Amino acid sequence: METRQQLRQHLFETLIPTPASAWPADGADLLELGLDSLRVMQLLVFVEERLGVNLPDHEVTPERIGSVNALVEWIDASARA
Amino acid sequence: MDRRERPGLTPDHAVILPMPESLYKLLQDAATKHGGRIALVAGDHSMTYAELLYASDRAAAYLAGHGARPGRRVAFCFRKSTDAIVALFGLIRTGATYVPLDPAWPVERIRTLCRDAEISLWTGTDPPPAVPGIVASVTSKTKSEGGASLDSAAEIEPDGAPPQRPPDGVTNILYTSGSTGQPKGVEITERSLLHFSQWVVATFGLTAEDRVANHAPYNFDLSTLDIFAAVRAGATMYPVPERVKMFPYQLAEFIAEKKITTWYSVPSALIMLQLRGRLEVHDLSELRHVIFAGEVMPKSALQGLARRLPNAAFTNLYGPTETNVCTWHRIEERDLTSDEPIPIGRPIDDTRVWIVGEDGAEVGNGDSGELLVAGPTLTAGYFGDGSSTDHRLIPAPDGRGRAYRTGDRVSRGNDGVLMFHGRLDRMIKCRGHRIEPGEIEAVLCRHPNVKEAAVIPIPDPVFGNRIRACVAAHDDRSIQEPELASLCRNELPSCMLPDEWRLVDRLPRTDRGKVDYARLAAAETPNSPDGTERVRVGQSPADGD
Repeated sequence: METRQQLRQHLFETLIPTPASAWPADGADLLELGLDSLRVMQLLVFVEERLGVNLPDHEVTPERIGSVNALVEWIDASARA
Repeated sequence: MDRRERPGLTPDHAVILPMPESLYKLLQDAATKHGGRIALVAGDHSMTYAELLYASDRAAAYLAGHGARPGRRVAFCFRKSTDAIVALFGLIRTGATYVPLDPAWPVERIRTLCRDAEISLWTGTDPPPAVPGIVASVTSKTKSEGGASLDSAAEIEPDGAPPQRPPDGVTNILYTSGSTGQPKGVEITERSLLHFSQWVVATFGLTAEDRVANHAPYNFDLSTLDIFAAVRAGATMYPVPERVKMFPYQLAEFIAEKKITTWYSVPSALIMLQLRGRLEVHDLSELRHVIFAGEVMPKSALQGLARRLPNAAFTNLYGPTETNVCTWHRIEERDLTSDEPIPIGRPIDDTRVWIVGEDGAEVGNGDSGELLVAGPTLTAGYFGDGSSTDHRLIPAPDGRGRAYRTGDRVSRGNDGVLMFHGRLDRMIKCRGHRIEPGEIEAVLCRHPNVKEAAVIPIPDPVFGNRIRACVAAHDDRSIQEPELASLCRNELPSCMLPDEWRLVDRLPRTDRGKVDYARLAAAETPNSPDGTERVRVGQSPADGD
């Protein structure tokens, strides 16, 4: 499964469970949708352990975590690094 | 007899008494002694104490013109900002009782609390939601179009009236989770805030040179240290922006850049800093006090922090919202090396504590029982709820006033130091927030397909606890976890949202018919192939699927 799909599934099935008919667009602001400090931590653990991509702590910013689009871009860049 | 002749009722009576200390006087004194010093820095905005007093005087007159006065309760719903602090001291000066609400809460919760507190005036960063009863609002700057804004307050002349005080002594009402399904309003007195801030300044030696971070939201009692102790000392307040709080590396950067000297937060914020803040790359040498409260600090995290912050003294404060802080423990070398949990310590000044068994009699050293607390920081009661007040505030064992039944299981060692052993009821601590499972269960049971629900804590090394919701549908109905999650998001603050869901056929019960929470906590099954988790915890493994 591609990164985007895995991320969306983890976000909207586990971290911010949302009825399938109401899954937000990939540009939606995840912090507004309820991604709080606990869930940010869980998201990072998911990316590192399940997607196998190491995300440097100093790069974790609201901009990079703010939407599915931003996350995918950041994860892809980190995977290449 | 002419009323004016009665002793004690002359109009001059108040004037000839010595001026008592008041919260507003803390600000006036700071402006007198440290007028040119920076009182607060929020984003690009900063204010000196002289400017803060000037603005607060005007805000008070403006807010009074919109209905703030002694005996009234006013909503206070601000994001961290200079406006918030100006409005806060403005409201204090009017003698109104302010009710802090978190702008991040769902609208439905804000409505419920406004109704419960009988709010007629709203102050906030943004305008209020539609709530019957709110007849006026004063908001931040340009946010309100055509409405009253705090900006306009700067243009009016203060009315010169002396600062008023609340007739019942209640400065603010902090809402906490309630076991019956409705939040409870804890009445915080001016006396409590004056006493606590004095104790903090003396104990930690706060001075005008200090830079105090404000991490906790305004509706959380931890923020009273950051605000009132800082003003009493003439120190500078640094509200931590919401988005910085969520990102440990940026939070560490904030502490370094602002040269924060005094930090007070729940342990989970510090644990996140220790795990992901990369403390080793930041210059945190200015940090001299790291204070935590609200839940149990794990020993390993404390050891990690102590290694990275050699200049900081660590202190554990303890106390439910109803007592603000009532005991404290300064972390010593032996606390870092021993295997024992961190003590909650000894009572703060003028505070008395007892540990009593179920029969109400004091237990011996080493035995655990319920902690009772009496002293100046005690709440006046629960707003509009006399029966809860009488249930929790009982006559003090020494006959001097009332004592609060904390519901916490505590023991006292031979050295007089208190240890915390958990709750006597079902209350959950999660990231320092107290959460009554009954409140989440009540929301879940509002779903028409839900027959019963039980909420239990699952211990978590970083966040204290995670919340597991176990839900059973009516026999002929079905439910899905996203639906339930949405329902909760519409009514509950994010700290109360379940982290795990278990859909069950029925809740397990004990022989006496009570929900068997221990079995719910033990229930674990792997995910089924379709990704949903369906656990038959009501049945023994033999009759499962």
